[in-house]
Amino acid sequence: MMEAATVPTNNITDRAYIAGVGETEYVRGTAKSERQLILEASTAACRDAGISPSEIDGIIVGWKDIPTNEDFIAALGIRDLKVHSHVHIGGASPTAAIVQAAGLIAAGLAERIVVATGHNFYSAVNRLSSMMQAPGGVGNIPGQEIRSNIEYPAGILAPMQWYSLHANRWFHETKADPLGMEIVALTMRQHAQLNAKAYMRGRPLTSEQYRASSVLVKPFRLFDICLETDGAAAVLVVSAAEARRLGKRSIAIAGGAEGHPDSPDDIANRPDILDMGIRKAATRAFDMAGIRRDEIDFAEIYDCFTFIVLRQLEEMGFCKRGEGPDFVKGGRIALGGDLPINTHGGLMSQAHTLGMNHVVEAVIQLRGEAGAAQVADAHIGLVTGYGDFGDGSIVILHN
Amino acid sequence: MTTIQSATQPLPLLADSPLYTAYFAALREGRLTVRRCAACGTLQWPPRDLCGKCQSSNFEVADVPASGEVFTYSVMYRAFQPWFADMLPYGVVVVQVCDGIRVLGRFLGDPETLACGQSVELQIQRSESEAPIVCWRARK
Repeated sequence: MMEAATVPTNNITDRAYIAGVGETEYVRGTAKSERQLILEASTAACRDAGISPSEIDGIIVGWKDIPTNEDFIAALGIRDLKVHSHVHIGGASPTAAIVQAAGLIAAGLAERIVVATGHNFYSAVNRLSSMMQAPGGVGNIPGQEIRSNIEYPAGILAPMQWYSLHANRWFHETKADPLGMEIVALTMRQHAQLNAKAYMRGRPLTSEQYRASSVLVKPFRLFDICLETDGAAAVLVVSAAEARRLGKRSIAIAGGAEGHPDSPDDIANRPDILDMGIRKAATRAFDMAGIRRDEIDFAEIYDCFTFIVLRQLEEMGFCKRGEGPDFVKGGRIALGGDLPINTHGGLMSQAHTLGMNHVVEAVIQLRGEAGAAQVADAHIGLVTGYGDFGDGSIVILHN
Repeated sequence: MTTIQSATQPLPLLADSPLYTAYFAALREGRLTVRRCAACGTLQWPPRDLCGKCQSSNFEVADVPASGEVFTYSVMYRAFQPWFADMLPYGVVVVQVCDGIRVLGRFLGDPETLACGQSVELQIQRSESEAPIVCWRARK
């Protein structure tokens, strides 16, 4: 991956591998706690890799404070935990956590790190789509005083309202074609039809149905907004030596990064309201991996909202601001196109596992195990995360 | 989930947010204010512990115009808290009141007419608990 003549700008490329993946079932309505689901997904990732959970020596949890490191030690029978952390950038956390795991492994501080997350979006006491929003309700959201003193009294309480401020200004500044949002919605749903774990499998979405769905918050229709499901997912990140020992289904991490926008907890006062953390993160990750945008075979892009997929394509440099809708036209992002996006259906149509399900799908694709949804000749893929008020993360994987 | 949340207006934290004390006191007097760093003069909104430019923790109150242009906005067709259920649809605007400062507030008017660049002026509402709430209406 790296040219021999250049001085390496990092020590991570191909030093860490994803050796195992695990997911719970994705449902609407579970009796299990998030803690139990995350622990079960972590166990499944170990089993997928072929190691005993007791051999884990590192834990990184995305977005959640529970399970604690103590919960993991007890549940997995861990003998000697050498590193742990909890990453707090919303949906950008899982991908950022994987990059941190790669760094710790490259530094020799651990060899077998579980990276996990999960959330009961459907079964939560205050479901995000409900009329029950309250200060601190979502949990682990930054800028609580801004929310409580400025936004809630004005009637801004939920993510679709926060992000609408970005979307409406994007349309005003760039005159982007709203048809792009419909194309993303339909494509995600189309891909879900091929995915055994997708909540929306068996429920195709037509253009007529999309256009008939109500606008909840301008500019978002019902079908521009991701699922609320219950579930958890985890991956096992290991050293190169461990990957060789465990066998051929390990996928290499070529590069990755997290990034933050200016005014990270306050969209309203962001000087450039279209700024997103993924812009800085993508530049770092592509430089690290030493590849061009057009060398990416598929992309699993964080899709809490259809417009956010378009915006990430723009900020990552696949196209200019405002051109995201043009980029997705003509079948480019569908399976069979030049850059298939969210081959599992995404948060929109598979499940909302904070984007850890996007990492799992990328690994499945690079293992050649995606069945009917397999991207032909898949060698290099990327996964993005988007979180809180515009934080971003990215990881580039290859086989 | 054991109780249905009653329709109580979401109110500012007030007593829990010392950084906002001067702002709400000025609003009660009908003035829209932000903060100015006493060391380097940079305007700051929202209020934070330190000046992001020079890390001083000394601030002065700075009046800003009580009118401006809509920088961005949202229109709600769904309520996320019962108090707003009877107002649907309602608008929220982010108003550019001066260089570098935008003030968010509910729009008092037909939200279907909202557009970026529209001129608005401040209208301060009193909540049931007397906490002042920033709202904006179209400027004639």
